[in-house]
Order: sequence, then C-alpha cells, then structure tokens
Amino acid sequence: MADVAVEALTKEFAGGVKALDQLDLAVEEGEFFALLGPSGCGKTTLLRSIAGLERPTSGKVLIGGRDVTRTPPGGRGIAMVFQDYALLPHMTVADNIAYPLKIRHVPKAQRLEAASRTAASLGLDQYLKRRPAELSGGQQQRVALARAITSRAKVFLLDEPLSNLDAQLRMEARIFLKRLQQELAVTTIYVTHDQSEALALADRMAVMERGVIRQVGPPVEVYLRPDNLFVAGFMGATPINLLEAKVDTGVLRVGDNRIGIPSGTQAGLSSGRQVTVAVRPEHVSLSDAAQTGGFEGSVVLVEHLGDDDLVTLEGGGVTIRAKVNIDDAVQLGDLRWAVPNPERVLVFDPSTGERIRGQNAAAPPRVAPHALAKDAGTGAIGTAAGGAGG
Amino acid sequence: MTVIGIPVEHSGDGQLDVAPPSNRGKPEWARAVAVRSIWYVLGVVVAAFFALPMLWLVTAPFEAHPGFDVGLSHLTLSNFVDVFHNPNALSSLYNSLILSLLTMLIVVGASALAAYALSRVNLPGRDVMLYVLLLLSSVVSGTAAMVPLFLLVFDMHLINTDAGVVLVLAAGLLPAGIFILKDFMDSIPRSYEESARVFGASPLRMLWDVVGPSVRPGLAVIGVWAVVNVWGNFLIPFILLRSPGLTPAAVEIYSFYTSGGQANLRLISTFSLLYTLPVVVIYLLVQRRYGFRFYGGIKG
Amino acid sequence: MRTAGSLLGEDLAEAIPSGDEGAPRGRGRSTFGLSRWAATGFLTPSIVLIGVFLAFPAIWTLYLGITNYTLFGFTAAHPHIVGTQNYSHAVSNPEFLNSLRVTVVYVLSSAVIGQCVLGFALAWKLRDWHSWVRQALEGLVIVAWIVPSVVVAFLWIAYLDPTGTVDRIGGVGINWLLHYPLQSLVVFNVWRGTAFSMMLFAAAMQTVPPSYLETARLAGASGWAQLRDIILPSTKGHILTDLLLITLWTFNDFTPYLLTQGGPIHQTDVLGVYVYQQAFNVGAMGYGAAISTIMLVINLLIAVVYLRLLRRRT
Repeated sequence: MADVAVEALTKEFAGGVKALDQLDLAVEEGEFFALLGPSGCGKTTLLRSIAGLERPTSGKVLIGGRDVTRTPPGGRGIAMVFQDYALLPHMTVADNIAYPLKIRHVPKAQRLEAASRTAASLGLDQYLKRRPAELSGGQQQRVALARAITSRAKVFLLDEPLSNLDAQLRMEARIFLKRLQQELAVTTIYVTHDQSEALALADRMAVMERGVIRQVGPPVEVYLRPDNLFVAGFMGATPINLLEAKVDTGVLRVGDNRIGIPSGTQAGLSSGRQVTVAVRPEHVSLSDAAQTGGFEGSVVLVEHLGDDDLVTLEGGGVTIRAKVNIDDAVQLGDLRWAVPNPERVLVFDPSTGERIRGQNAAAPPRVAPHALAKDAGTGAIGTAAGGAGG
Repeated sequence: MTVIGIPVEHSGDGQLDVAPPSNRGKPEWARAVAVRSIWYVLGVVVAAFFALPMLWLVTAPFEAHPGFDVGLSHLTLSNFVDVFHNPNALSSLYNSLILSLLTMLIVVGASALAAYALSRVNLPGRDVMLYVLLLLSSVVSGTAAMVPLFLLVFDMHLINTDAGVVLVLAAGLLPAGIFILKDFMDSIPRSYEESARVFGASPLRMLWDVVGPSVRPGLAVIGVWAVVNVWGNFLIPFILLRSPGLTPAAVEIYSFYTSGGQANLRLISTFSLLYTLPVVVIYLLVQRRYGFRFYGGIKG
Repeated sequence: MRTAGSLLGEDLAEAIPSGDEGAPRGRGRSTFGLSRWAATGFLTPSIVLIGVFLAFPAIWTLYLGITNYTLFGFTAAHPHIVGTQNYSHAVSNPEFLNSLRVTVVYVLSSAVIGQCVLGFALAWKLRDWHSWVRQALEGLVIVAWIVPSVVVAFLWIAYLDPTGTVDRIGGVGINWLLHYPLQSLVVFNVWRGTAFSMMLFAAAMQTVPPSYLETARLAGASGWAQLRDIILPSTKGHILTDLLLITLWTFNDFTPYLLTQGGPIHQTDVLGVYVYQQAFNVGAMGYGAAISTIMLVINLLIAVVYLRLLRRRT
C-alpha cells in the first residue's frame, strides 16, 4: 500500500482552460479518499493525472514517496475502475479479471487460478465463463473491481464507479465497496459528484471547484463546518439557508430578528460588520411559542421529502427553511418560530466567502471572492444553489 | 380546414386537395386501386429489367450446346467437368484467390495501423491529411492512371508479377479502408485502452488485445470489400500481367476459345458461374452476419 | 449479497507479481499513450504505399504527358520532351473530342439520370412494399452490382445478341450492340450500377425521423408532397455524395471495353478505353499519359465542384 501526494499540480488544456490550478493534495496510506465536486471542477482530471492518463502541465505526482510524474501508467502500481467499467467485450469474465496478469506474462493456468479465486471472493464464481454483456450492471462493476484486485495495485483509482447503476443497486454496491476497501486496506481515491456517496464511503474527502480544492477533511467536518460558502452551498441534501446579517454589539441582526453570535467567532466580528449567516434546514427547528434567537414567520411552502417536511417561513424580512418531522403537521399559513441550533450556525464573510472563525479568521483566503447576489432590501440572500453538482 | 406546414396548393400531381378523403366517395377508391396496380406493374417491370440479363448465367452452364439464348433443351453437367479438366481455368481461379488474399492482408493490416494512429493521436494536419486522402483515392482511378501505373511497375521490375498487381490494388483501396476503419476505431470507448494502459500494456498489445477484437466487424468489412474488389478487377491485372500462368480469372476468361476460333460458350458460361458464386456467397454471408451496413459499398 | 470475506489467500499473493515489478517501463515510448513516433510508425506502411502507387503516378503522368514516350521502338528507351505537343494534338484530334463527347453522354445519361433517379425511386417505393418482395427486388438489384465486370459483360453480350433474350421478348433480330452501341451501354450501366444509389438513398431515408413523415401524413400530404417537402430536403447531402461518387466511377469506367472495345467505329470510345487503345494498342505512351492527365484534371474538377456544393450546404 502506498500514499499518494500531488504537489502544485496544474493541467492546462489546449485553449487555456485550467482544469487543475496549482493543486496540492496528500492522501494517506490505506485511506478511502473521495474527490467531490460539480461536473467540470477538475476532479476526474486530477484522478487521471494521478493515473498517468493525463500529462500535467506542471507539478508533481508522488506515489509511495516516489515521483511518478514521468512514469507510464503501467509502472505506477495503480488500478483504475472506470465509470463504464471498461470490461473488454470479447473476453470472458475470467479473462477480463486475469488481464492485468496476462500483461505481466503470468502463465495462463496461474492467472486463471488467481482470477477464479478473486471472483469467488466477490461472489462472481458462477459467471467466469460469461461475457461482460451477459452480466448485470452491478456484476460488471464487481468484475471491474476484481480485475483491479488481481492487479495487486497499491492504489485504487475509482472514477464514478457507481453512477451507471440504478438507485437500489447503488446502495448495495456502496456497502460492498466500503467493506472491500476495509478488508483490502488499499489506498483508494474515489471520484464522485454524488455527495451522499462521498459522505458514506470516505475516510476523508476533498471538495473541488474550478480546478482548486476548497476544503479537505473528514466528511462530517466538511458537512458540519464548511470552510466557505461554496462548500456550504454544495454540501447538504437540501439547500442551506443563507441570511444576510449585521453584527450589533454582541448579537447578529437578521432582518427584524436577533440571534446570538456563535461561540468562538466573537473575535472576528466587530460591531457593524456585514456577514452572511448560514444554517442548514436540518439544524433549524420549529416552535409554536416565541423563542429567543428565533425567527417568527408564516409558513408559505411545505415540501414533503418522505420522513421530513421542508418548511419555508417568511417574516420579519427573512425567508428561512426548516426540515421538520412530518408528525409536526405544519400547515400553510401557520405562524411559527424557526429556531436555528446555535451550535450549528455558521458565519461567513460575504466578500471573501470564507468562514469567520474568531482568531483563525486572520488567515487570508486563497480563493477569489465568491460572488453572491445580495438583496439588501429584505435582508434575505435566499438559499445558495446547493447540490448543484451534476 | 387548414393544413399546417404543407404547401398543398402547389401539389404537382393534383392528387391532394384539402377536402378529407371521406368526401370523395367511390371514384377515389377505384382510383386508389388503379394507382396501386400501376405500381405493381412497374415493380414487375423493374424486377424483369434486373433479372432477365442474369438468366443466361444460370441456364447456359447446364446446357449442352449453349448459344446466347436462354433455354434448357439438353440439360447436362458436363460443362462443369470440362472446366475442372481445364488447367487454365482452375489455376486462374487460384491466381484470383491469391491476389485477393494478398491484397486483403496488406489493406487490412496497413489500414488498421493507420486508422488506429489517426483515431487516437491528434497529429498535426490530420484532418487535412484525411481530406487529401479521400480526394486522392476518388480522383486517381486505375483507368485514369493506367499509363503511369504501367510504366512505374515496369520500371520497378514488377511487371508480370503478383507483387505489382497487389501493391497497385492495395494502394487504391487503402484510403477508403483507412476511412471506414477510423470510424470503427472512433467508436471504441477510450476507457478500454486506458484501463489496459493502467495495467501496463504497450501500444501494440493494446492494438492486439483491446482494439483489434473490438473492431473485428470493421476488419471483416474491409477484408471482404478488398477481396471482392480484387476478385472482380479486370484492368490492373490485364495491363500488368501478361504470362498465362499468372493471369487471374477476370483476364483468363478471354482465352476460352474453341479450336475453330469461336468463343467457347460452354466454358465461358460455366466458368463465369463458378467465378461469380464466391462473390455472391460472400455477400450473403456478410449480410447475414453483420447486416448490411453502408460504408460506401462493396463494389466488384 | 456477498461481502469480501477472506479476499486474497496468502498463496495467491505469492503467485502474482506485484504491480511495479512486472510492468513494462520506458522502452523509449512516451509516458502518455501512443506517442507521435509510434503513430508515425503505424502510418508509414499506408503512406508509403499510397505515396508510391497512388500519388506518385498522378504526378508522374504530368511529366509523361509532355514526352514522346512509346511502348515500342526507339522512343521507348530514349523518350524526349516534346512540350505541349501531345495536348495540342489531343484538342485538335476528332477522335479525342468524340471520346470526350461519348464519355459525357455516358456519364450524364447512365449515372446522373439513370442510376440516381432509378436508385432514388427504388429506395423510396420499396419502403412500403412487403418485406419479401422488397428483399427479392433489392437482392436482384444488388447482385447485378456485385457480379464481376467480365461476367456481366458476357451476360449483356448474350442478352443483347440477335439470338439473345431481348430478341426473344422483342423479336426483331436487331444486333443492339452493333446498331445502338451507346444506348445499349447506357441501359447496361443503369442496370449495373443502380444498386449503389438505391442503398445509399435507402440508408439516407432511414435517417429521416418518422415523425416528420407522420406529421405530413396527418396533415394530409400525398406521397408526392411528402417526397418533395420532407424526403428531398433531408437527403440533399446524400444526393450530392451519390452524384459525386457515381459520376467519378462512371467517368472512369472501363467496362465498356469489355462489351464493345470502343466500337463500332469509336461510337463507345469512352476516355478510359481511348487511353488504353492509344497507350497500349498504338503504343503512344506519351499521348496516352496526356489524356490520362486530362482525365485526372476532370476527376479533380468533378470532386471539387461537388465537395464545394456539399460544403455550402453545411
């Protein structure tokens, strides 16, 4: 097993489009690492550069401490699973699984033996003589994994391996993949545009936007404490609430309402400063009675999400959404109080888009200011285009 | 009633007016039958036009004394026996086969390599090169270039050799072959090769293991197309091959004369049938196996 | 669902060389896929063959056309340059001008009108016929196209003979190839080559979305109106492509030689046959090369005109 590092990696395509821009990344040995981002963010280019399928314009790729920037893909000790699985249609499942060994001139009997063992452990033993086209999508995906396993690679690179499966199969394959990786303890880099996959599978993840990494960390950290408005908006099943606010002697004024300043951020918030307050709908509760630090409003929209309802409240110059249990039986026109969990309220600098974290906020942001549409009239910025991945 | 998008008032044959068919009554129905009958008659005429010239090919070989007319008065198989006993007839079919297979090997091999390179590597000027290739192959025909081709082959001391014929024919077929195969290659997902590369496969191994098997239908199309072309070609062997032992069937057939100096129709008709059958069989096989896909055609 | 279990036995791990030992390295090829060098190597056989046996003859014929090269005699070994003499001889030679005229008539009537129109009509009409009728008719048309040309030449010699099938039907005892040689060749070439146009147009018509025709039918358009308003506009590009190819093929057709050898009295002397007779029968290689050059230039003109028309459409 080996760690993977990328140093100041830049990939410029013909025409001057920078798919990767001075990108640094370190993936630890045995780690399951997810690269998440909207389409066109450069995550696949990054993966292909690590594989050696793209030639970086500048920068370095290190695998197991060895500089492999100029090494052909076959010499990097990696295996890759493609979105379309890339199983050779004219070969049987057994031959496909054994193919990496054929390239290394392992004798036929030996490599087929290896293939059937791997196949057996992945539940594919009865399909060895079939062609890929005769298998279901889930089985094909497992054949692709089996092929990666027989290559004895030290690093697995997975490019959206679940996206060609239907929803039911995808959940099963996800569990399978996680257990497989735990068993093999092989360093795995996983590209996806589906945040639920990244959250469920990864030990750590990186969120990318336009060729740069916007945040790296464990999934829970990225979800609960996004470093910037882009990550805040991108993560989460429902769009995060973004509210324009002003610091006013120990409180935040949001429209006609006041909420307490989240602990740890006071130092960065001098009186009179304009900030953006962000809180996820799932961290907002509804109350029938007046609450301090709550927003009074009438229910203007109720969206049923299954177990939960997504309720939109308007009032006091603020629009806010809350995710509540369906048992709350919220009705249109009801007057309620929306109460954000103070532990989960995040404060961002609207001009840089960076999260304000008290003392730490002094660190200058690397990234260009995030453009935000402001609506000073109501004080509500609305919700970020969260989950805009595709 | 308005008719949207169809400029009915310009309808040339006057069949269509705006009124719905139900208003037309019985004469319309009768007319439809008449129109239909006319089409059937035309169909029969066209079928006859295409079928009649071929009748001779299926009757004369079985006729004891064939003339130019179609008929079976004395049914016999002795003509076939004669052909099999004629050494020139059999050896010329063999020569045709050799020329076809050699040309096919060169065309399939060279065009596969070239098509792969053109499909996968963005060489500078690639599109211009493809355009010039296409133009060249359609403009420089064997007929228009027969004089320089003859002199070139003569100066290369390849006159009266299989090599001369094979090289000239292969060069003529290559551009179209490259074009067709490039289409096939472009349709193979790149992830197949990338996956092989990640496991350490060399370019030739990728071509052999991954690309070759995936374009097998394309290779078959090119191969069959080359064989059929060479098999039926008359002009090139006619000007480049002169000794009787080397000439293929297309040229040899003109040596079938009776001792009286008349064309030996027994031999010619029977030999024609034997010479034609492989092409028709190949065509049927290709159509059954791959369906007929349109690639500028298989022309003999 | 099975999970990984004990995935890799220890013995298996020993049996397989690990990723970085067995993988081939370097060997002078590029890190990133097929290198330019390898690509050039792959292209070389084709480029050499095409260059030597297709491009070079086309250029060389320019030189040969200004020499007095002959097949036999003194000037076979010692040709010298005679300038534009071959060309001035050609344009003032009634035989050449006749040959050019015969070729133009042959191309226009048999290919541009005959094959293209009949092919289009067949492709259009066969669509709504029963599948076995369609397949049988298509099969007949295609067989006429794939039979080797020497065989079809004999077939048509027999067919048009005063004792042949045509006479059985018509019964006037005419030797068609003797009395109507060019007309016979035109009919022959329509028979021979319609298959290509038919198949190309059938393929083209399949690319017209059925909803277009259905919309027209719902609006009450007749078959003719559908053809004119939907099929023709959608297949213009294919028609041009078809015309380009069949014009070039027919212009360069050598099959008339097999039927009439250019006769009687040069009535079927298409350019290909004329070149052959001048170069190989008369032995005037230089003059033949000059005619070859004229043919190549006409070919080029045909191709350029059609390709420009095609490009203007897109």
